[in-house]
Amino acid sequence: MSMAVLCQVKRAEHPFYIRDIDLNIYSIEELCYFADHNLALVEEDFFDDALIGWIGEELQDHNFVRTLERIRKEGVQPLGRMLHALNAETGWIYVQDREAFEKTLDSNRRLPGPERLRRRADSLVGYGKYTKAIEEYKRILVMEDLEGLGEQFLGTVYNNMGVSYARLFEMDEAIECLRKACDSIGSRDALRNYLCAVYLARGEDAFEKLADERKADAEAREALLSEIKSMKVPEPEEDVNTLLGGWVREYHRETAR
Amino acid sequence: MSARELIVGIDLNRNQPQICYYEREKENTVTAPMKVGNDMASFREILDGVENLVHDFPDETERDRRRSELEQKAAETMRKALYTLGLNDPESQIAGITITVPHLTRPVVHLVQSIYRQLGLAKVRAFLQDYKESCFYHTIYQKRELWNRNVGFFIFEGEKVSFLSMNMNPQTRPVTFTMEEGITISLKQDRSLWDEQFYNMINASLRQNMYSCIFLMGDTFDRAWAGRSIALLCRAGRKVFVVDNLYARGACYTSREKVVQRKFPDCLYLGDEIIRNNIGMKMYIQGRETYYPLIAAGVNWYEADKVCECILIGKEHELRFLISRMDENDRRVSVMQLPELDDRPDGTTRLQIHLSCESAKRCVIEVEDLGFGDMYPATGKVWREILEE
Repeated sequence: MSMAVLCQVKRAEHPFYIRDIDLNIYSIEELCYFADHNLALVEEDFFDDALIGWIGEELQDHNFVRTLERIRKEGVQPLGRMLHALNAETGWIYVQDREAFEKTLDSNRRLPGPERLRRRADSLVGYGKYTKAIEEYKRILVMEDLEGLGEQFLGTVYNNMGVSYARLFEMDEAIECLRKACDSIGSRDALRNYLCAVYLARGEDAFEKLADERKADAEAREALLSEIKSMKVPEPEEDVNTLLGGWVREYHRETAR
Repeated sequence: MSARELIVGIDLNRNQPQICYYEREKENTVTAPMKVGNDMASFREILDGVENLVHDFPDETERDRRRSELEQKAAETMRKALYTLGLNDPESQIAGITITVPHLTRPVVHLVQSIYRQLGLAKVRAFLQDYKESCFYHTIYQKRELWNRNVGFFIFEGEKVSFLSMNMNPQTRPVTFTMEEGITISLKQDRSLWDEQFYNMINASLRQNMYSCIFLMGDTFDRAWAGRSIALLCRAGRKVFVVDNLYARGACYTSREKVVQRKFPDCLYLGDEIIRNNIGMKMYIQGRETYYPLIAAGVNWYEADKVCECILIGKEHELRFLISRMDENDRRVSVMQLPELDDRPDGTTRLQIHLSCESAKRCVIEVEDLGFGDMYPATGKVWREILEE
């Protein structure tokens, strides 16, 4: 049986813009849903003056504003407590298991800096924000406390960065990152991404040469080749202006900083 | 005339609109035909127009345009009629106003609400009722001994005579009153037969019930032809009055009761226009499952209007409404299906629920998909369901 949850806070006339993923938020429920499902993107300064001001002015939720300001003033684990307050404000509709949620918040808080940043960058990839994601991966690579995280961690960072470059058709950078990922991780998935990028950028001969060098097994090689060749080439729409307009919008969305 | 001192009642009808007003300072009640300058104010064309809109204008855009024209014309006529009486600024001069009409229909309700809006009269001091409710308020503002039992009304409209009985139930607190329609007769062409016809009607209407008072209304009634009937009416100490302008006076008393002084808090009129059902939903409010009232029994159907928004949780695309009679504890459930509502992650469907009534027994529920911001844009789909008693 379905249930209804009464919305007690009005919707905003003017939305709050979440720059990271280019998203407009119009209600307290949308804000809560976004935060609960994107914890990696919710950083310590998420509830800044702009957001708190918007909650007061647009949503007219002055009690909640007072709660947020009190937590911020007290300064003890502000992010976790603010997220808790946000969920309480919406009646905990987006959290099935409150205890597990609290544990996730706590373990996120304890994550090493590079790991927290990697999760954030991965989330940005999930939203198609490749340029921003690459910036975050680069920030990780210059961090000082990487040693304890191991080769696997670095390999994952290079792999995801390489995929992001490939999505932007910056193939030289993509191939370089994926090579490093392959060297660090040495997994079949990493090799697969590397081979794929080489094929797309430099053709089948380069693909075969690399596959020989990396001793890719014949069966996996054939499967990947057949997969690449079966990829659909998008057919241009009849209306070229619409097609170009769509591409321009997509480009700006993916490369927006 | 000082600011907000005037209490007004208006009988808005097709033939002869009447106005009754009462000045608090002077305690003076005046009833007069509504005039615009030296001519009688006429609402016939406007009332005919709004009631036939759907029939005359099948095209919705044309209908809205015509409705707007009629509403403007009605407000303008009302403004001029009030001006003729010296009320050049109704918004600041009127403390309370009630318009009474023969029957409350949705088009007439919209028309009157529009008149009030255009004259700047807020809901808290501008009321609407039907003739029956006017009869009730007119009666309770008479001496108590006149209505300590049932009260009868014989209404003469041309050759038609109808009977209305105001019945009191003193067993309840507050004491409740209802209006019951009785028989209607047509007077014959031969006037010499009218007394006998009416005499028989009185017998059939009053039967063995106790009536403390009878009101006779309408132009066709004349003592000259009704000797035997009057004798019967006056039997057993019943008081009998021939009254004019009862509806406008009743409306004026309503304004007085609602705005100036609650003289009869222990009397409750249960009219045909009053909703007898409570309608609500079980909703999560502040994380707790709670009964949330949408429409409360006891209000007039044309005043019942509720809008709220909710987030749908669960896989079923449906809303469940709880309905209970005002005098019973049992609740029944009415499930409203929302077919073709998009499948979205749990908690990402925001719905607007709008309840209004077309009559005391017919409630309209409209639900609109508001989506979930930019994440799941609104489809604008609207579902409509009727709850009938």
